[in-house]
Amino acid sequence: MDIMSTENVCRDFPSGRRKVRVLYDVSLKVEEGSLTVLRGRSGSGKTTLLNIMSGLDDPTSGRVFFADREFSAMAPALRDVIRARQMGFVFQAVALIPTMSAYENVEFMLRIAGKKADRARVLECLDKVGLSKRVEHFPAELSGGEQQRVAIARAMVHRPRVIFADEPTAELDSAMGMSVMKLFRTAVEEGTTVVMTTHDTNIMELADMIYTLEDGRVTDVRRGGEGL
Amino acid sequence: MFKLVLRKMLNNKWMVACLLIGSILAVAMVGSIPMYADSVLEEMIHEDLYAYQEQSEDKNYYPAYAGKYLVRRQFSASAESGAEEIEQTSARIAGYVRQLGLDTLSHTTHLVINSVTLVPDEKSFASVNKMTEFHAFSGLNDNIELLYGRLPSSAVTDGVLEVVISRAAERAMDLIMGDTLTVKGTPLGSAIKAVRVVGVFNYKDNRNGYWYGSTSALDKAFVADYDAMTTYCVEREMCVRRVEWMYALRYAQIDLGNIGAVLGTYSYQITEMTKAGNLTFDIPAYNVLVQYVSRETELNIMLLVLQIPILIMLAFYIYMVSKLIVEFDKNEISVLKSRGCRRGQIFTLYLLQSGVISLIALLIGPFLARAACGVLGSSDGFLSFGGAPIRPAVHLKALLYCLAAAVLGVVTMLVPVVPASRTDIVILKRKKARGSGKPLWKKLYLDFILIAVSCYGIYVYGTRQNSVSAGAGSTPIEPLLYLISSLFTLGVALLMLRFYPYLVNSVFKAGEKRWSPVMYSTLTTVARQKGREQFLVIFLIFTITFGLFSASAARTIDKTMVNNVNYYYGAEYSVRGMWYDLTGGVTSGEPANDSTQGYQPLNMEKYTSVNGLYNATKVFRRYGVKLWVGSTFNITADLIATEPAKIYKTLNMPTDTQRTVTTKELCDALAADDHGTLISRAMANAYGLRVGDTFEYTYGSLMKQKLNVVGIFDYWPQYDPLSANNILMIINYDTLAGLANFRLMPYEIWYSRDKSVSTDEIRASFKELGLTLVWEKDAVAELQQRANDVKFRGTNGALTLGFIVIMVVSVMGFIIYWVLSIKSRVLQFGVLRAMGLTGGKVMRMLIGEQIFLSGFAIDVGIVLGTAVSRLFVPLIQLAYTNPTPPQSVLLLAGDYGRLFICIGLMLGVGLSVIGWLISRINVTAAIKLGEE
Ligand SMILES: Nc1ncnc2c1ncn2[C@@H]1O[C@H](COP(=O)(O)OP(=O)(O)OP(=O)(O)O)[C@@H](O)[C@H]1O
Ligand SMILES: [Mg+2]
Repeated sequence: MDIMSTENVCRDFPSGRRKVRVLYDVSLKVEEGSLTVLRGRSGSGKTTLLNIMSGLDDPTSGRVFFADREFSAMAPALRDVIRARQMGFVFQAVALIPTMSAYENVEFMLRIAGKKADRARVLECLDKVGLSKRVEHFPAELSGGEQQRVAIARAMVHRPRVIFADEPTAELDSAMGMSVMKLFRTAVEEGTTVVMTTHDTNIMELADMIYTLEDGRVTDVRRGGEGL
Repeated sequence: MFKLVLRKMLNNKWMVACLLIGSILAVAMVGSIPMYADSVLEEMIHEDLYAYQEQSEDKNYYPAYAGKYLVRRQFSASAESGAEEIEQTSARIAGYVRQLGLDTLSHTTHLVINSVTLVPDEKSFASVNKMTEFHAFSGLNDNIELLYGRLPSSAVTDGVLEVVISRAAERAMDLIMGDTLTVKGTPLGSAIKAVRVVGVFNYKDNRNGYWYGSTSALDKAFVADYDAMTTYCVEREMCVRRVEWMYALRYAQIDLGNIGAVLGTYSYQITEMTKAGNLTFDIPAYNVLVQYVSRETELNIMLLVLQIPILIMLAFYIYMVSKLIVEFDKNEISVLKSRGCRRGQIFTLYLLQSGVISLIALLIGPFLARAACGVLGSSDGFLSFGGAPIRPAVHLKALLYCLAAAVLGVVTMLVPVVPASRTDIVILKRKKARGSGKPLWKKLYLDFILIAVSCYGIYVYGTRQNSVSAGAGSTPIEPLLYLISSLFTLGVALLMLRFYPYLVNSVFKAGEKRWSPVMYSTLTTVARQKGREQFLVIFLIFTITFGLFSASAARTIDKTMVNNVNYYYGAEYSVRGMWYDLTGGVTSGEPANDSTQGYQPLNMEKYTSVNGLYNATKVFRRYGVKLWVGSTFNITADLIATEPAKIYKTLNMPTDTQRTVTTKELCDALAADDHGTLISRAMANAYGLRVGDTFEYTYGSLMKQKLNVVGIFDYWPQYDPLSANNILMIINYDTLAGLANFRLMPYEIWYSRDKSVSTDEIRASFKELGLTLVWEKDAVAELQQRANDVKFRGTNGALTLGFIVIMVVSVMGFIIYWVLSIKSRVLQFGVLRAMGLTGGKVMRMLIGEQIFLSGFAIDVGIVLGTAVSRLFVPLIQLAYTNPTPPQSVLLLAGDYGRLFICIGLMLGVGLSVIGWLISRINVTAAIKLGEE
């Protein structure tokens, strides 16, 4: 069953007086409990597409569905609630709250999602990303990779239906990147849907579905393990 | 290079604008000091000189002129070379006057000739048989008007000298025009044998100071033609007794530019004339100006000191904003450096930027300063502008002050540039990651140091105050005290800031599990964020503390001044009439202490019917009264005898200041017992007297009288408990007057006053009733005069101005803080929004932060402001006026209200800006921001 899909999504950005089209008629489907990868060169429109799929941004034309409901038809407040409860985010920019410790950053997501501050769950997630020894550190006291891993823990802690991850492995070495991918894989086995972008070819074997974007168009769709 | 600077400034346009406003304010504040001082002082010179003139005005004649330059020389009858010497002295004095460089309004050489015995011819009824003086004035003809007759001729024909006489002389000497009198002997020289009156004149009031002194000398004298006198009496025979050279100078020409030179010349000439020995002089302006110069210094110091805290705040503000700009530019600086830009070049870049800002400030500042002077001058109370506005000229001195402020501004702006231009990109990144550690003031324990220093200051001031005791007058320590209070405020504010994070953290910990995401985020931010918010907290604390302090200082000083005047005047209006002794003689002075002479009773009926005055009460004083208390005798005390039932209504004592009973109760007790007495606390303590005790007294020829102590007072008008003469008793006047050996002696009369009747009307009423007064004391007029005092106005104005500037700076600081805080956290807000926190919640989070920071600062400010007021205002008050009886520190609800309105406005503006900024945050763009 598809948890979300896009239909002929176009996105224009104003550039000076003209408009620049970044996405051209993108249509894709994401199956629930799968790991979907959006790959493409820098500037191909991956982040833009991810933002539209997660309801952070609206398409210029075309439609976006999440759990059979159209995003553009929803009230903004409802979208906020859906994002808080059913989605987790890992941003391309490491975006931890600087005044909260690693633990608090993760726990804060639970609070936003309206769940109980469950210490065991928070520690479990931090442990999964290999940071059980960095719990009380503040972002400024963590390396870039460590910060990224906190962000991943934060994206999973409230057991969302979908995790959107924008280049989650960019800051990590290949071994660490692999272990993060495995983390996502485990989450997928547990029923979570993961949509991520990357330009790292190594990690794609773990994907279920791979969409290739080139200059805002989907130029290639294939199943994971089919090879490139 | 310059293009680059302008581009950079445009990039940071808001911050640059804030910096510019701060610089303009600083320049204006500094510039307003000399501008205000000079314009007020300029006014003051003339006012002082004019006041001298008014106060010495003899209503019957012509005013004593403040620009008088009068030199006298006496001659002995036998002097041989008189004519020549007069000539020389004339030249010398003319030279002196030229040296001063002031215009001469009028000038006269006044000759006084030996007294002459005259014999009237048979036809005349003249009563001139005594010695009579002859006078001659150069330039006389233009300054008299002839009532009849003609001006005297300059020639002596047939041995007859022609003279004119004044209207008064005509009456006094029973002369009429045409009368001829024979000169006995040759006191006027051999040529003059007789004198003929050819005219009668009145003084012409040209308002030029020509009639410089009392004209009463001419009431019984002849005025001859000046040339005739010179020719016949001076050159031929030396019979001049005295010559007076009088120059009426245009004192309005004395201003701040030439006062130094004029004073120097005066003092040089005075020394020279004193050395000469035979000259005496009367230059009233000299003393007035000398006094004025010391007042000038005092005013300048006071204004500067009152503004120092504000200037410090402005400097602080400029430094902070400049530092923020540099921080914003850090990346750019690093890039420039990696492209091979040298440190000096980066420094020059900022030098140019601050130069441009200061230049603009310098262009606008002086005009704002001029406006600020309006505030300073028209202020007749704190935040009240009832006085006459001042529109001073923008002169060189003020511009120099502005320039100095601008240069200092440039330096302040450059301070944060030095370390920034040194760092390269590697250090910068590391710094960014690790946070920049403890701020300097925390490491230096600046808060503790400031508090310690200011406490020491209070201690030193306290001990000095005890040794100086009352009447400190206007010692220049009060400015210092003001500084100490600012340091204290800053110290406590910093201390609060040191403990603030712990406080918030404990709130955070207290409910860690329960906090909503909004509260959670707010608390962690407030507790852990380092840096900028300290700027805000200090600003707010300072604003509120300073606001409250300024208000209460100004109010209390105002009130104390009023109280002081009232205390020392006792009644709203009091007079001492002219008394006639039993032989009919007039006494204006007080009779000697041991005098037993009696006086004719005063016509009290007339004194009680003066227009505008009522409750006439007799107040009789006697010093050195002898007492017997128990077995102790030979005690001396001061005595006041009055009418207790009436005096209570007349007394204009501040608030009831007696410690145990009210003044009314005391007066009632005295009224109830004819032989009762009220004694001073000091007297009670010195002789162990208590209510109900008795003692005996006597003075003059009075028999020993027994008195019952019916009350003890702490304060009574004019009574100073700290003085040496603090043994004072108050008794019933009527009982005293009824005693067998009582001699009536002059007493004062105290009145209540109908405020709608002017002082002039009251005076006119006294005159109409035929009552001559030795003196009159008008508390209302005194109050008005004191309120107009420059120092007073300046204090209120400077406090008001400071308050306004601090408010403006705080609002700006507040907005800058929030704008930057939001801008630097756009990414974070974007993430929070993406994570599903609604825009409203993000807004609430920021409001929460605001409440925690500003709320804390406001609370501290209110508590600290009240504390600083209670601590420092009494000391300042003491320095400004002599606080007997003490006035408690005034904190008016209205002032709190006004302050809260200002703060509310500030928060309102801040919140609107936040709302506007938040609504503009675009989530995807925000997230993008962090991508590089
Ligand atoms: N807010 C915006 N305004 C204008 N242009 C934009 C905006 N956001 C993205 N673009 C443009 O859209 C194109 C696609 O951007 P996007 O961020 O989606 O690329 P990407 O595939 O994520 O690249 P990367 O791998 O570097 O992150 C780029 O050319 C970018 O310049
Ligand atoms: Mg991207």
